[in-house]
Amino acid sequence: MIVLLLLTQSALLGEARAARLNSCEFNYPIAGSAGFTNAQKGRKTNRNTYSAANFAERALVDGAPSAQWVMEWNATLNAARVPTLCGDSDFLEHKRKERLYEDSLDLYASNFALSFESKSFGAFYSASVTQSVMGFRYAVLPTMLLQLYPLVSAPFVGIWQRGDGVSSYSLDWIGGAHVDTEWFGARVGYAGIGGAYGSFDERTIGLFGSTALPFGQHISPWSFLKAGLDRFDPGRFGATKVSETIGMTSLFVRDLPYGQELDSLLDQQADATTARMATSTIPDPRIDPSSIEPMPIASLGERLGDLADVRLRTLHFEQKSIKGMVDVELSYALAPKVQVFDGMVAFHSPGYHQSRLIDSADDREVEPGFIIKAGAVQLPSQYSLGVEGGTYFSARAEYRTPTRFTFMVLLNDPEQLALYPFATNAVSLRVFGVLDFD
Amino acid sequence: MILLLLSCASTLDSDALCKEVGFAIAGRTEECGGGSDLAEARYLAFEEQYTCVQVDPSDTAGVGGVLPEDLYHCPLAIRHLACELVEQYGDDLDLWLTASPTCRLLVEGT
Repeated sequence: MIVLLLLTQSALLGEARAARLNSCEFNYPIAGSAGFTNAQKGRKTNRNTYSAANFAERALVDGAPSAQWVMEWNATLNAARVPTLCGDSDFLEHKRKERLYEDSLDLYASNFALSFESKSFGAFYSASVTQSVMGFRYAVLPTMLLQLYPLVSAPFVGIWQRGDGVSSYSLDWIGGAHVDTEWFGARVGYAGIGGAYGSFDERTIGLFGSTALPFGQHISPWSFLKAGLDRFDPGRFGATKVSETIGMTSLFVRDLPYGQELDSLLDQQADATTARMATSTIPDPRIDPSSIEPMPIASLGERLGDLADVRLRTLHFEQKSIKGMVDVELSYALAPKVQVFDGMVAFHSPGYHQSRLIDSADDREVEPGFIIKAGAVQLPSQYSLGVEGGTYFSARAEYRTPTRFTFMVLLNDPEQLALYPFATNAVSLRVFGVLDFD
Repeated sequence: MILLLLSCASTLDSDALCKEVGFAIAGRTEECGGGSDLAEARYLAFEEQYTCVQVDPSDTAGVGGVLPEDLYHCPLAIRHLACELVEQYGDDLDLWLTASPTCRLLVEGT
């Protein structure tokens, strides 16, 4: 497997070298554009969505075996389109000859989780590396394979967060303990970024809740909150026929930060300073430079107040495995705007979805198979983001191998558009792998 | 592999710079607590009241001697207006366009 990964990496890096010749080497994203603002929002959201705590909630299975290792790689291509200036002196020699053009911001996330369990008690660790990069996807995609090193060593090297303009690199981890009993499971942990993580689930009907609570000065009381009913199966109460007909029901609410947070505001303050400096450098024959008065800049406190309640809050209803092969999913956005968000229908191979409620090692066995999902996503016009709105076709394809690797391709996925409403027609690639050690 | 071959870059439309001004007005309206409905109304009013000046992004002569990339000063300045000014300007979009001397190079109209 490692040899295969190294060969893949070499091939991609070879392509990167060839691709470099056709692109701009020194590109400067332009502040002030909607694309630039969206890119800044996107990189923050990427870090929150694929944070270590969020990944632990998604990836670690209750009733885990004695040890479990989970890896996931995500790439969202064309998340934002950013007006960009090519600073190369020989730009006319490039395949793309414009000095000013639109470049894509791609978002990447590499996640890792590990859990151990002995009888009912255990420990877990989860880490994430998130990156946002303009272009150069040929070079970035292969390097995602190498993120395993910071992911494993995060508690020793510490938390990293670095953002310049629209590009960023962030390393985050959490670690903690969990308890699994016949009736309930719970996890508590420390988040390296400065906060606490907790989750709880009961084992009769499938009620659950999970949250991450940051310490210190943050706008929101929690980084994320998710609570409700997950994969309720009537078959557990003897209604096997009903279960086979209607499948499993999920109903939950999710609350995430939406858009800017504190450090984004700080970035904007820096941009404001740049804007003031630039005022005196723009030649305009109609204006006497000495007549330009300094532009009043909003205070940070004022802007914090403005954005205190910017959250994405969605209500989800999912009916999975109807007749064993069909899913229906609906979600409704409660904030920042009330609207029907998406409707999807999926067709999958039998046994593709696993029950959340696991009684024995046999229950953990997952079937290889596929799922194909299609539907429509409704986006309102959001001119503040440069989004003119409309209804978009959405599709998702997944294939899970017998070795529990899952490969996914997503176009206009509702989950992605909920987080990045400006990422219309973005394509996401995802690889998810699980190794169990009993 | 096909997905990797998709081009990252694309050409800017000739009215892209002008639209940025409207997006910036909408964005700052919303950030200053005006709400999304008012932001949308102001964007639509901007579209109605002004005609976009077409800008060739590759034109190194620029517009009025200002290079295309420097014209982004207008939306940048609008996005950093103090909220008290946003409140004072209100629905008078002409006032919004005083945020930068480059704004008037991007639109024609009242």
